[in-house]
Amino acid sequence: MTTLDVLARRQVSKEFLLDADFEIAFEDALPVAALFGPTGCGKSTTLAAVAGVPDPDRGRIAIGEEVLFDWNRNWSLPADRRRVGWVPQDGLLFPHLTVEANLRYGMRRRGAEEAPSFDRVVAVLEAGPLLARSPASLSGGERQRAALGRAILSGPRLLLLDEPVSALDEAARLRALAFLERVAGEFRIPALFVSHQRTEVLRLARTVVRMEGGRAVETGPAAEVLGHGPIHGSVDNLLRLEPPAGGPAPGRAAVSGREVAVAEGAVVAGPCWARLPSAAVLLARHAPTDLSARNALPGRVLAVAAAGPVVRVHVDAGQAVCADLTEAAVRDLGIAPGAEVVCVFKAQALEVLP
Amino acid sequence: MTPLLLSLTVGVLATVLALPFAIAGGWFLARRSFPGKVLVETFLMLPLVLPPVVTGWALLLVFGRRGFLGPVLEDAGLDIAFTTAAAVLAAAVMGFPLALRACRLAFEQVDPRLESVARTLGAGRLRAFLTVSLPLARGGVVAAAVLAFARSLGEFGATMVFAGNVEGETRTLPLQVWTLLQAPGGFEDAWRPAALSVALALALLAVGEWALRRPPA
Repeated sequence: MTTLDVLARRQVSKEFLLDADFEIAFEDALPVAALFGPTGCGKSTTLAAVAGVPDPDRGRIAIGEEVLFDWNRNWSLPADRRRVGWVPQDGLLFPHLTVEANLRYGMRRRGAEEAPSFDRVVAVLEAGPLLARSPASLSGGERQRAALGRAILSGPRLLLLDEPVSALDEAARLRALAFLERVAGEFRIPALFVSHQRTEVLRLARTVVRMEGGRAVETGPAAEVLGHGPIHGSVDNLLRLEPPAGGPAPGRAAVSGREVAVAEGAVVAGPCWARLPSAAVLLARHAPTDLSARNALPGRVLAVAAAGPVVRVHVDAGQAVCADLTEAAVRDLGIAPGAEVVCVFKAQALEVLP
Repeated sequence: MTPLLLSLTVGVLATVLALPFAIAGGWFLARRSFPGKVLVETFLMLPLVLPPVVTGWALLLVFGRRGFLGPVLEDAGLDIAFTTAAAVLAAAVMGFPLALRACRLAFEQVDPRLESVARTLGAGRLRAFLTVSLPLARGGVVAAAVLAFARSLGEFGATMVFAGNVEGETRTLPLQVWTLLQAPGGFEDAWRPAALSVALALALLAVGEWALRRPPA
């Protein structure tokens, strides 16, 4: 388990003082945490302080046992030796380099044997077609993906993502969220991201630090901090659809190699995205028989966010899937991190996005 | 050396001498703030507005045989004043403010966070500068070189005072024109070096224009 310990004080302007004090313990299964709060509350400044660009005026910042910054001891580990991947809001790719050169920029720091490999990151982020292009020709979502890949390839022990999806339009945002989920599941690099949007935070983060006026006012499980009780409302899962194995057919598609039925006889001719509300997903311990719901994806429970009567279960079913269950159902089925489960949902619940 | 060859040699050497300082100084002024910054900037810009003769006299005060650094240079076996080296130094000092300004403006156009990103990706200060800021400011640096070179081709006053008018050693094109104009009947002969100066200036303007218009990579 990785911990991040932050005590950061910085006079950003005459009017604004950052004075944040919090500690995050990243869970191994889903090591994602969020700094949540309104615009201008000091989230980005805090994130930059962890990266050391620039250091705060005073305070202490440590990842696990290693101290990155300690004002009392006059100590600051140079930014290039902190091994954190900082992804600023607009991605900030190097405009004079190709996407591939951007991705490889930080690889010289890490040891040759260290995972993840270049090819794997490119595959997970679907960046293959982008490699030869120049950053100026990319869309916002593509830029974000390339910046994320560049940070991952530098071999960081902590990812710092500044508003990773908020600059994107609705469709691109859902897509980018799915990529972030996939990255968290695939590479297991602890990630701290900044957001002012509840839905994003609920969807991605296990632990949330709520900030207000430059201070960290509350730290805890996402559902508790954001909901003060039960989780309100469903979140949208985003699934990557492929054409079925036997070729495109009405109402048929594949998710991570498993055939599924989709709503209204839609034809999936190429890779595309589909929305699946978390409330529409059932969990079973075994593949169900004699059930009207057409779709069943086996997977493994990553994490269980227990809060109030509704419990959000994060499942790795080849792709990240969230399911909302009642507390009683979770208890009776014995659902806990590591448990094998099957995600069941109706064809109608899976809405293919244009 | 002929005045033309000497002008070109002095110009190239002066540019090579001034440019690293202009790049470093331009980056520093664009990125850092410190107490007394305005004073430092004003001082560095001084050769641009001072009468060149005064700059030449100041150079003599510092590098001359009886100057401030004279004893040190003599111990090192160096004699700068009234040599080609002095012409180069004078041209470099005169071209420096222009190059500094061009570099500074170029670095101010580069988002400083790009360097921060490079640092978090494991690049040290120098590598971040050489691989990110410098390539992105390339157009401005080329412009700085062209300006410094152009300024040194036109340099007259400071060279005259600090380097003298030694044929084959410090007599560049402008000094050649002046020398001919001083001699009886030289008024007609001055057209050759004058025409060469015009040709050089036109070529430089073309290069400068090309460098500025080249799309950033």
